[in-house]
Amino acid sequence: MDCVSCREVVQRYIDGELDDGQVVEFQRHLSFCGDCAAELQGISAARGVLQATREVMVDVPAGFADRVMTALEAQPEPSGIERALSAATGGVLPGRVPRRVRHYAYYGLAVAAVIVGLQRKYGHKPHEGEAKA
Amino acid sequence: MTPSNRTDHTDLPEPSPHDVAAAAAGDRDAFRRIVERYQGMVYTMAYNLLGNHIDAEDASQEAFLRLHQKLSGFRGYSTFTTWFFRLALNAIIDYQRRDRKYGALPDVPEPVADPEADVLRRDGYARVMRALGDLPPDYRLPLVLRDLYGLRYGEISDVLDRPLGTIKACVHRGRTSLRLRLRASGAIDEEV
Repeated sequence: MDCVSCREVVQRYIDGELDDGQVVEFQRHLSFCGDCAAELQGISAARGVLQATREVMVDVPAGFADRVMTALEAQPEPSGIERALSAATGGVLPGRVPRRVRHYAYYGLAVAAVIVGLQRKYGHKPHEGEAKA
Repeated sequence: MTPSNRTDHTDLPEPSPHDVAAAAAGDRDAFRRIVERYQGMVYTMAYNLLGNHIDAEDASQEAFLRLHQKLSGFRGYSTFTTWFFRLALNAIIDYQRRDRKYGALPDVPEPVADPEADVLRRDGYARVMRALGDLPPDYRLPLVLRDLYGLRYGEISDVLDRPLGTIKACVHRGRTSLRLRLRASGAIDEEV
């Protein structure tokens, strides 16, 4: 195995897609090729860091459940035919587009960030004379 | 051979069968209890896939509205969590596809206040999210679905409606790109 084919095999090795013979050949190449060994080590490390984020639960915005329930109230009640269709098709109600209830705090923050940025870029800068005064 | 990492997301406690049945029959209080139980899982998944809070909130809402719509179709062939995980994932991907949110810039994440969480852990998460946000748009979703949520390539191909070979190539390139970005940010330390 040369380095070009080894780089192609690294990903399949990580995914567990190699058969036993290919694994032996791959590992034999790594035993004398530091570059390919570093490639495997680097990708595995990055993958490990990504997988470690599985433990992290992102904070749900305050009032999220309330907004879901509000959005639910805004949904039109399904008709009897739609209920029957839903039960028969595993819950699929065709043609329904959900209406969301927006959490406007994020938009406020985004607008504030833009304003601050614009002020920094184009805002009033005192002239030398003003600064001395 | 190295094992592939598959996560079934079954570590969340299941809702009571009574709540599921009641919510399917239209009981709003029962449905709210399900929302409160799963909002963390759904919101985190949406954030990890979409990379910003505005889209994460909108997509999560859609996931729960779709749950309400489809709850009567839950037959119990799998656990409720597994069934809802897939439903929520599809809702988030549909949202991303419909609203063309691919590659939206990530904002700074705020991991939940967990007494066991330390500064390093939060910093690590923020770095990973920034690195993911820097990836070319076509790489991020397949990579997150594969290496964070443990979906098989065939499942990702189905969910994203793209050819299997394309998905594999995107994951492979995504891993390589993520490695370079994490190394540059100091999140991983490699002896070069």
